Amino acid sequence: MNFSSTNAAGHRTFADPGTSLGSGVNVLGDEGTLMFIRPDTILWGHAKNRFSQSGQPARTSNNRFGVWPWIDSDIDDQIDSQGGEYQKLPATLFGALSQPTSQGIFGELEGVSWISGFNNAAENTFVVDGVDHVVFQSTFRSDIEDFWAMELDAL
Amino acid sequence: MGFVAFQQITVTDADDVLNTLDTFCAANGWTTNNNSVFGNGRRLHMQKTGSETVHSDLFVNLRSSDPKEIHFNDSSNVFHLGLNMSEVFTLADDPMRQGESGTPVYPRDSVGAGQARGAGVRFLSPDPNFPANQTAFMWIFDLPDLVIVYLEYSPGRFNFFYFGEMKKTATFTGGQVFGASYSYEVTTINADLENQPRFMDNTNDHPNNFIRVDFDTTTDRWVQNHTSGSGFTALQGLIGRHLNRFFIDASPNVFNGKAPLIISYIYVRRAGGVQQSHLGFYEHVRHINMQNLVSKQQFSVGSADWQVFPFRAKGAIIGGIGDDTLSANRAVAIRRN
Repeated sequence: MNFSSTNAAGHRTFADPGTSLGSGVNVLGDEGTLMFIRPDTILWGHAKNRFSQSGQPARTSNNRFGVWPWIDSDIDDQIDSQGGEYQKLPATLFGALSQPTSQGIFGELEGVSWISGFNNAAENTFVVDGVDHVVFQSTFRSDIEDFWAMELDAL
Repeated sequence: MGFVAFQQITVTDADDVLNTLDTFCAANGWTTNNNSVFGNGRRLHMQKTGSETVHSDLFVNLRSSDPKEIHFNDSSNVFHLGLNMSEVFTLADDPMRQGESGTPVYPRDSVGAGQARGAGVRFLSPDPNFPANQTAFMWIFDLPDLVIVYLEYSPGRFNFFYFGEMKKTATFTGGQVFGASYSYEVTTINADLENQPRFMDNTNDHPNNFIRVDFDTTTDRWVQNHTSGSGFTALQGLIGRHLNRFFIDASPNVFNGKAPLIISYIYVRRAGGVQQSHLGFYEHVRHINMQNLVSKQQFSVGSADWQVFPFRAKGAIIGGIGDDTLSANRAVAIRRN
């Protein structure tokens, strides 16, 4: 988690990383991102879904590495089902050796998933296939698209 | 269980598609309610108790006609093959208008006299009649039930239809699914235009995929998969406002050339037409970008065997075959074991 005492754009969680430094080529040296990916033997890159200076910055399609599904604007409208069921979607890392993005999928963050924030709240818990999960929000953000869940699977 | 049976077989004509399917399904758990001559072809009605659709059996109704004579409600176009699903079978009723006395309601409610509801397959080119001796690929799955038919009407070119039920992830009345390639072909094959076949997906103007779902205050509905707009519609597949689109565009992977198998989730727009809730997904089938695959190619992932088919033809684009861009390579992979 990137901590800030203000509602800054870069104050986010690793599941939906971002930066306040704008879009463009993401190379080591940018600040504000919350995740670094090493796709080959040379490069370390930033994963970021959003940029700009505001508290809830816009999604960027010009990023080089990112995390699905938070990057997808469709999740803004995803709510629970009529029976109260929620769907979790796996946190999926994507990126490319050159911009634009969306040219490769690296894999999933095990135990991390998106879940709708509709009628949801941080620290809620739920069970899927016998595994406990706990819900988090993206620091100070609490819109539908800002939530994520982590498995509490005993090792 | 999942995979039940597969067969690859030559079908002599449109009627033979229904007869062959009847024999195949009857040997693998489906009950035939009727298979008889009707108009320029045949009518076939089958039934099975599903595993997900607990409120009603799966009733499927099919028609063949050559010369083609099946009119659907949304178009003046005429089809060789037609299908829909219902929650009852009545021999006295039109084969494409089963259970129509009020409910369930299809999304396009105005149907002319003698017209059909549902989805169809037709052939305009290379032959306005049903091409003889096509190769048929037929699958039967259960848990949940799904029957898929792919027809290779010329080398590398396909039509398809399917019926059964989704794997539910939510609690609701319904769950049946069916669809067919709308099958519009003139001199070129287009993959990204209205009228074009999209497996587990739909165009806005020509519904060819349907889902049975009761939601909110709306009951007894068959809804079409709709890619945009508002209202009580379902969302699935690759096009437009759907999460799957991301993965098809992000593959094949530039690092290793592999394309991920993409789950086709199904959503419904809630009352108000903006917010969406998940309903389920298609078991036994995945979307895939087939840029680095060829039609009918089989591959394995662990112990699972898959076979890939294009929506219509690999590389089909506006203007003809040959482009290898992203949109031209949308395809499905179907389990083979």
